[in-house]
Amino acid sequence: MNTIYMDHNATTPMRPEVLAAMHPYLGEKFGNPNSIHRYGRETRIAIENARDHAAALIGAAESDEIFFTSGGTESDNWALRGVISAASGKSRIVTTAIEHEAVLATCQALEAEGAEVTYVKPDRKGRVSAEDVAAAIRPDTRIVSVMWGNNEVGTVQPIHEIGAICREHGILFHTDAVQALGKVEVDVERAGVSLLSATGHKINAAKGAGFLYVKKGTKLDPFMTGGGQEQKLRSGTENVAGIVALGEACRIAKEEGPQSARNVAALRDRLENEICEHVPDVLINGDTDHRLPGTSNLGFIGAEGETLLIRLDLEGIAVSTGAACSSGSPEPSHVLLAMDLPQETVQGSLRFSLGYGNSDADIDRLLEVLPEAVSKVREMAPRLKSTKT
Amino acid sequence: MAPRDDYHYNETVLRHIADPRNIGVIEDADAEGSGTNPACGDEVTLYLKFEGEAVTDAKIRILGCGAITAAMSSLTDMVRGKTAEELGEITAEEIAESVGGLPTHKRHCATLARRVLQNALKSRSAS
Ligand SMILES: Cc1ncc(COP(=O)(O)O)c(C=O)c1O
Repeated sequence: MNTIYMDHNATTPMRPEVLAAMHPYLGEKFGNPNSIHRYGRETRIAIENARDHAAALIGAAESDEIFFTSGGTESDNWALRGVISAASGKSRIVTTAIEHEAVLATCQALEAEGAEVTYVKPDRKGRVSAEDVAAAIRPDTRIVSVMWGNNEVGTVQPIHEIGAICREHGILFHTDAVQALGKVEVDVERAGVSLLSATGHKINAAKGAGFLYVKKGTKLDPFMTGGGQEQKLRSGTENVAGIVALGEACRIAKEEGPQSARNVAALRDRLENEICEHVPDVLINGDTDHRLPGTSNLGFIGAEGETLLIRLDLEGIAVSTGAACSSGSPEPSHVLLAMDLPQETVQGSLRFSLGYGNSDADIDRLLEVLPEAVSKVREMAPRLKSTKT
Repeated sequence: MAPRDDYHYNETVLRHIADPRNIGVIEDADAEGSGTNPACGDEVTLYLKFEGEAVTDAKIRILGCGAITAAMSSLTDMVRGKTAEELGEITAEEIAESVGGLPTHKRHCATLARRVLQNALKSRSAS
């Protein structure tokens, strides 16, 4: 079966150039970058090149502000825990209700350890206002953490405004840029960001490697202690192949990012327009004025997302849903709930996320299958109670 | 023993979702039961037709996830030829087993299917 992948916010395929770049480091170039001999020198150079590419992509002033980690989850954990543990006295965190679980669950864990956390609510399009963030700041607020772009609805947050507010208050600003990196322009200096999380597998590199950007002068405790790698802040022998892949993906994103973002946005807009044209009662979840280029979250009223997902899957089309317990949790998507969407919108929501490799032919195929799938699922629904005599 | 993959649906469940059995309404049903799962908004209605003591037809309407769709679809086959008393003994585990098992986080869908069946039986004894 010809399969079509429209779930790039979950993970992305590796680009062939990236795979080619990492390949030697799974084979003959196996040295430990901390070894003194030639094997070690060879892999050390590869890691430092990757660091340069990552720094260049996000506009970091220095390459040694990039710390390689195992991915987005670790970077989020480290940023929050590392800052709170390095701070003395009572600590408060300001974040949002629509963060990824990597931030939310970490904040909840820190709350259990005595930190106070404010979860700023977004508007109905999933955007928080910089004013609301500013209003939540107290004298003992140590860090503000607001994601750059949301993974479920794609809403891009007012990062520059929030960065300016944090700078004014002298507060650290962390942003989870896992979804935004490579898709929108990310410049940490201009945005006033002190810590930034990123991961390779969302930008066509490998799973299990990411980085945390830490602005010079930021007080941060180590997360992993041990052999003292990564300037003694993140111990553990480096995931050389994963880091090389990440570096190569950053290099490509720096070069091609703006153009591929435009292409992907055009595809996404076509997908959205044509679905809305061919399927009745569809709502767009998210902020169409501030949105990641590849993301379209749609609510199919009167249908249920997971059954739609599986019908599409059986036709070879991979998408995702924010519906209840499809991700193993009994509650519907916390993002859609925080946006105060009606339950029927939440229940009928599907996320299409486009990226590298998608084409107009994919949209054509989707449009062949989706309208019928939606009407089939809608036809199955119970009659309204009032029609029963 | 827990299945190795306790996260995804098995092939039987997927087949039911792709092509659920006995979707529809029985206008002159002898029993009708509904149920909802408030956490996710899933809604189900089951219609039963009896001849003598035994079920001769069962139909369902569903707005719900894959697991409840498969559970109800399978249930419409399970109930055929059974008496009300036999239906009353069907457990959630049996419904889940009839589709080759459900992931742990979806087991409550089998419970909802059983509750809908129980509601239908109550409606019959009430009328
Ligand atoms: C916004 C966001 N943050 C963090 C993560 C976690 O990243 P990783 O899978 O690399 O741990 C993800 C990926 O699911 C994400 O979308």
